[in-house]
Amino acid sequence: MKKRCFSILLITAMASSALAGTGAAQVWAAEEKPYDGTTIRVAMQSHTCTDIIQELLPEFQEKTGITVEVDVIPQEEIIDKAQVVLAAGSADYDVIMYDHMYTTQFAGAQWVEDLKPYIEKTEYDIDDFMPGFVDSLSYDGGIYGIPIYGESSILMYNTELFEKAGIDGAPKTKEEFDEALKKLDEAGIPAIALRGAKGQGSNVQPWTGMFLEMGGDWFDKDGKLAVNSEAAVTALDYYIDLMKNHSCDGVESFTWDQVQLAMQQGKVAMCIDATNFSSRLENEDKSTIVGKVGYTVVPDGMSIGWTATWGLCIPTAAENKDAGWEFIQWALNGDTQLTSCLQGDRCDPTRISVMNSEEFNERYNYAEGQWVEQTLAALDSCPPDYRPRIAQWPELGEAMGTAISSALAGDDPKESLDAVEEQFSHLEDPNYQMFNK
Amino acid sequence: MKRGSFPCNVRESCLGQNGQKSEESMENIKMNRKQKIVRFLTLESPNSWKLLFYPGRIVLLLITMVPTVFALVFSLQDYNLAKVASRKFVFLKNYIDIFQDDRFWNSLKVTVGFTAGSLVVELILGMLIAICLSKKIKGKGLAQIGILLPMIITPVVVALYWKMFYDPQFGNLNYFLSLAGLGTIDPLSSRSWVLVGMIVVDIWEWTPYVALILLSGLQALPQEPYEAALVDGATKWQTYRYITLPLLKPIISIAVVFRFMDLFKWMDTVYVMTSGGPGIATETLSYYAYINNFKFLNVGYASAICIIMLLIVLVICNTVGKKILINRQEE
Amino acid sequence: MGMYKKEKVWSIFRNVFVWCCVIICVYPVYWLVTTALKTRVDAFAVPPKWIFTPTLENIKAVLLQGTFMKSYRNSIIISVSTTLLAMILGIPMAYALARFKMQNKKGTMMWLLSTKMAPPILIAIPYYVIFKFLGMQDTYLGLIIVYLMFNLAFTVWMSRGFIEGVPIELEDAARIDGATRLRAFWAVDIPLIKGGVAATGILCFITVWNEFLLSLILSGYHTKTAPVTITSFISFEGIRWGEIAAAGILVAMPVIILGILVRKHLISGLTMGAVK
Repeated sequence: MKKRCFSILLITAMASSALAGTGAAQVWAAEEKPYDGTTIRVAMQSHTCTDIIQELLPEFQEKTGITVEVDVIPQEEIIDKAQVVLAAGSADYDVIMYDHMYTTQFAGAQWVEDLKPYIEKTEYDIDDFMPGFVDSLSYDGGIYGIPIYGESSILMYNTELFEKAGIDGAPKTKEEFDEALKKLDEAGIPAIALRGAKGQGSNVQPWTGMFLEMGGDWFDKDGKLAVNSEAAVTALDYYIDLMKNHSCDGVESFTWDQVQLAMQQGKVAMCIDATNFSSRLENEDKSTIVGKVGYTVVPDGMSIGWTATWGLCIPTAAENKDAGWEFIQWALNGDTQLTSCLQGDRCDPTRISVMNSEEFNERYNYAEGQWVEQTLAALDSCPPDYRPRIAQWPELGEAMGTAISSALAGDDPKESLDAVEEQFSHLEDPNYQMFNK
Repeated sequence: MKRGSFPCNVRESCLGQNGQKSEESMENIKMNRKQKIVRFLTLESPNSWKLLFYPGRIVLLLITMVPTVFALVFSLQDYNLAKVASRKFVFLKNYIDIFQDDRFWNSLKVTVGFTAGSLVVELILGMLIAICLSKKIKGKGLAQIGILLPMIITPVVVALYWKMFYDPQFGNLNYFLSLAGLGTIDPLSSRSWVLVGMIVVDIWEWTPYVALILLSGLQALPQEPYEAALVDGATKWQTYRYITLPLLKPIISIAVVFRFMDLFKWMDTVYVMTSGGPGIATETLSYYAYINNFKFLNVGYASAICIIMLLIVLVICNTVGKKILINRQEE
Repeated sequence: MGMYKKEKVWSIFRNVFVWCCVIICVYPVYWLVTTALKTRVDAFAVPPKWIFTPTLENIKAVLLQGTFMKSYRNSIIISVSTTLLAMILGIPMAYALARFKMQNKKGTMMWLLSTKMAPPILIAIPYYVIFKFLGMQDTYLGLIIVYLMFNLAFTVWMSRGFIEGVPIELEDAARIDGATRLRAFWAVDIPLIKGGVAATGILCFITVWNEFLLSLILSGYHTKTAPVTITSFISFEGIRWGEIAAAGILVAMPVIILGILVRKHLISGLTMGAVK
């Protein structure tokens, strides 16, 4: 009898402590340090916010007693590594930073934890994150990653070269854009640089914008892959025309890095690329065109802004999931994110409160606020299925990159796209959200 | 005592002792056993090679055979890391698929083209450099050190450097071309040039290696045939054609085999510089296996490609290589 | 006279040709050094800036980045241990092959050579799976084992050649004086093949030091090697060429120095002893 009483008491005690825990997780953690002495390992991409998070780590360690080992891996390699680690179910990392295009694959295979229970348990303010980014990292009702940085794409132009060519103001429509091309051609200035190197995150990005804007969709209304549609071919023709006739030499092998470099060195008048280019275009140490950049959303009828975001996830096989969640909460909280934006060149935060904060707007007040305004507009309009979020995306994306690259190197555009369509003829995606309904 | 008499003595004494069956045999056998162990450990016994050879051999067998057997098993399975649940034996299906895969044949073609192109140029250029270096050159020691650099610098850095060198906007290549009054080229984005561009990188990196091998061969050549040729009044060209080249043939073959082994599995520069592009113009077998393995997570298929590669190299080296390498060592 | 003139022309041609090759070989090193000393804007200026104000920022950034120095240490630990292990296991094997009667020596030699032919991707995933099973992920031992695979056979091939180069009479003479074979091997052969063994070791070291792909997949936070860390300067802000160049030089430095030190033995090393 006594024994039973005790166990009931114990249960109530546990329940009440659990309740207390839900109140204010971070404070609770800070006071009690339940993970004191734990060491977690985090794989992060080489990115400014990673640098700043590493600098701020002592603060986190003091608060929670958790030691964090950050493994910094370049963008290209981190996914390869993550896939091997996750597929093998190894406990190498407690937190991994990954590209949202892998959400379906990772979540579908149950390699990473659904973070929704964690969010609920600790009442994490997920609503402060831009919904588009959270959506990109969600799968089948669960949230599998918390966005650490995110971007869309905008048109950036060199105002000095625009003046030289006699163009006034940013091109807002395809007609204005084509007009600008003509004027730049006449003035002998390479007009636009786009990513040309093959890869799902490289040449597929600019082409997709045109593809969707020109009436195409990755899957038709029956859920069948449609990458050789008329719109796809028109978009590819247009992309090739821009690259061949209105760009600088060698653009066919440009990665985003070379697009950025071409802009920084004033070699080209425009580029359509990531919104976060601005902080590197407006940095004296890296750029020759500081203060001479205009920003605008991509012209109507020509292209749309893309979606790309990276999130922090917790592998299912991780050993210190709760400590890992503590880290994610801290690394992505408003203060940390704002600090990283203010201390480093890093203008791709994922929190609405940070994006709207006075400090952020002051620090990134490029082109008199034009950049912030246009970036928000781009983020608002970019569709989550810019690139389709399917488990087979790595294969499909690679094949698309190869096809675009082949067409750029002289193959027939239609035939290149037909080849992809044929190779993936079995591919279907009933969940695809159509852009052109 | 004559040379080489030790092994004989050893054998005789062993036999002698083994043959004895005296009354004090128990004592003797004990002594023998102890002696035998000592002989074995001090390498005096003809079986001592086991002591020397087996530890290394076992380690090497373990660390090479275990992963290779794993890979062999993978290659017979439908094994995709993303779909582990559906992993099952499909036996030769991967191999059959590979033989029907255009992209595989393309990568084989690229690999063969790259290997042949690099090999030929490296041999010719290497020969020229070796001949020059075998003669009087100002500052030869320094020149040799300079020529050594390309092959010992970290390959990743080499590939990154060349990528930047080729960059049509910021690279030095087009700057030098413009100084010479030539047009601009962009080797990495034109399908007809890209393989040439990659071959040039390999030539830069490995011609010195070929040159140094050939140089060591040249320096070891016997003098007599040359004296005879001089007496006969042969021209320089004739001497090279009819004396140097034939004498150098074994050395040239060695250079070919060793370069072949490396070229055939070549991928570092592709990985860093082109990712196999434009299109699939520089996709080598290794790179194709790599993307199958790490991008598509299709481990079974990738393993099958690697096994095929291994077989090709093994067959070629076993026929050509064995003759050249092993027999030469036996001489 | 005509003969003499022709010879002179050839000599000039030879010198010019060789030194042109040397310049082509050395130019990238020059580019790396200058890029390491330039700011980003200067590094990509066209035409190239031959005269510029050097900055130590890049080198400082690399040295202050804890990861790089740690990976440098990892590289040293892994390269040195692999080399030593390869020597300890490989030289006795080579001695056995050189001096003892064994069955099917040719086959054995060929088998040894074939361990060098496997494409690295073939073993990457198997090793990952095995290491996970044995709990050996992200350990020095794991990487050492993998690299041993590529270097043990090489060490045997090389050392065998060197040992065969030692006249057997010398060993016999020592044994007449009462030395055991083991002692003779230790006192006679080893001192004579010292130089060659050193070259072999340094070549093992260079191979391990420069390896990229397997290290990328199989190393982890604690064991990441220097070539892999170089690529982490390909960051989100753009490829940080200054830092890459600085790191590249720091990584290449030890191998360049070692390479120059053993350049005489390098040839026989690079051909696994097939050319002496």
